[in-house]
Formats: sequence, C-alpha cells, structure tokens
Amino acid sequence: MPESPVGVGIDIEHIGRFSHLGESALRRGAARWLSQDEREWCALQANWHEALLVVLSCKEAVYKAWPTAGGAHEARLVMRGSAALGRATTDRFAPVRLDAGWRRTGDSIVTLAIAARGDGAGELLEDLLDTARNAAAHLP
Amino acid sequence: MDRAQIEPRVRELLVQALGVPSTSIDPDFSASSTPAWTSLNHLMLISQVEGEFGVFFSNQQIRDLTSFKGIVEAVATHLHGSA
Repeated sequence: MPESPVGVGIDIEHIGRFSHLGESALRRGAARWLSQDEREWCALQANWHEALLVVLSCKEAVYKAWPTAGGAHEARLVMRGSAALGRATTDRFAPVRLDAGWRRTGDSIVTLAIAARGDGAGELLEDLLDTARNAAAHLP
Repeated sequence: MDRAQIEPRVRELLVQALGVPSTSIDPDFSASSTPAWTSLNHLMLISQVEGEFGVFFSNQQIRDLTSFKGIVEAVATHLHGSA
C-alpha cells in the first residue's frame, strides 16, 4: 500500500503553445530552463519543439504537485519515453519524490504529476492514470 | 541605458514571447489581464529578457515579474544598481 500523496498537479498544453516563437528564442529558453540531461532527451526526439514543451509541461505539473519546490524550472527530471507518451521522475526534493506521466491527446499534451513521500509516487501515479482511463471509458 | 531605451525593447520582447499585438501593451499590461501570459510563456519571456539585456533574475524575481512596468524596473535596477 503506497503512502498517501502529498500533492497532485495537472498541466495541459496545446501543441502549438510555442508556435509564435522563433528557433533562437526556443534555444535560449531550453538553455535557461532545462538541464543538460533534459536537453539531451529533447534532442533524441523526432520533434525537438514538442519535446521541449513536454519537459516544461512536466516541470509545471511537478511544481503544481509540490509548490515548495522553488520554481517550476528547478525540478531536474529524468525523462523516459517519447514526446507522445512517457514518464518523468525527480528525487531532487527527497524525501518527497515526484513522478509525472504525459500523453499527447489530439492537439494537446496532458501531464499528470504526483508527489509522495518515499517510493510511493510511481505506484500512486499508475493508480491515478488507471482511474482516469476507467473514468474516460465510461463517459457517455 | 535608461528606462526610455529599455521600454521599447521590453515591449518587443513581450510581443515576441507572448504572441500579442504591440498595440495591446499599455503601461498597465500585466499577466493578470493577459490570457496569453501563461506560466510557460512567462518562462520564455524571462529567458528572452535575460538574454536581451545580459541580466539574470532570481527565483523570487521570476515569480514577481508579471507586469510590463515591473520588468522595465527590474532591468533598469540590474543595469544601474538602483530602482
């Protein structure tokens, strides 16, 4: 039985969120707000712009789940998966651990983050995602 | 560089980072009255301002810089060491 969550964060971004920005502005933003590892993950994705949006969406969701984490940009995330579907974690704020999951749905990226003490965040996130899927399956 | 020189450059950065028309940026332009001033666009705006003026804002400043006036003041303070 995982421990109780201490926070939940949701972020939804339109895929064209940064479409008004030029390449240099996006590169500057990535250099300022993403860690080296996060930038490397972005570089491996088919669409670099979309990957940048995913990382920032994860940071935003993580910050909403655990607002005492300084600023949204301060979370250093370990990214797994693709820009379309994946998971991110950080233990930077131990003993609170944060897990985030994202999925591209239509023109949006939907990200859900959960903060929990110990190692329970990942399991809680799975439970929450399952609950959301079940609820969606029963929509009229 | 004085405020009269800083203001038009900040205005242009707001236009670029938020994707809003320059005519919408009056002296009271702020995040609270601008739907396009989202949290992610805010990050992009801050990094653009820092790069444009060669300044670096603290976490507290990043949270507080939510108005046209505030950004101009903060840049002027960084460049001149006083408000």
